[in-house]
Amino acid sequence: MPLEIENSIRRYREEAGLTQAELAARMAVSRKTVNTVENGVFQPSVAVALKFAAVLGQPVEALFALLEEEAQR
Amino acid sequence: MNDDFEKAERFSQGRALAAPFLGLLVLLAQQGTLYVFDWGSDSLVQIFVWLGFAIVMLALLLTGGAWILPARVRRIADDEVSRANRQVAIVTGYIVAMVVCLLVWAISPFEPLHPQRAANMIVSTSLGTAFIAYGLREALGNAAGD
Repeated sequence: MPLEIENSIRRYREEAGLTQAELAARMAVSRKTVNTVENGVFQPSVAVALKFAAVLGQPVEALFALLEEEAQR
Repeated sequence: MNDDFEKAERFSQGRALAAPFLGLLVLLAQQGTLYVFDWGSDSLVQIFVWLGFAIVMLALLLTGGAWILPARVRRIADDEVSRANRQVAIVTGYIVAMVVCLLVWAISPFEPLHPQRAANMIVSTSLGTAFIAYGLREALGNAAGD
């Protein structure tokens, strides 16, 4: 299934000075999850999206957005 | 970085490396490369060793392994990306099983197969490809990044 969202995880992660592994450890998920979400390979569940938001201290809407073509449907 | 996370990462990376080899092992075993089955034999050793091996492989595929690791480590190692990769692997194995079943159906009137051999072919090719698919997806997810 093609992904419907884009994300700014890498930007906020790097601003926070965290590696993928450090972010993953704080979220209690694998580094693989952070890597695949960041690279747009995997679309996370609501729970994982909220974990990203909580650890990075950003609202979910700042981290994830619908792709333009999806938003216009 | 906490100990549970590091244990989970080590397990996850080990699993990604081991899964394709386990898959290949199952496929090679089916080909008679490692052991030649005596189809239709009533040898309890042959029956139960292969049955036990196949059941353990199936359980590993369905659960992701890590049976002896603490619950928290297992939760990290079996997070939603791993579960999604396992779902794709299971679907892949199912499709392969269907294809092999159809081939057995089509070929067996001309090249009769002992039922035990047919079952072995279907289960082995299905499990083998599922493990290879799982391992490759896990390895790709672990690749690159920082």
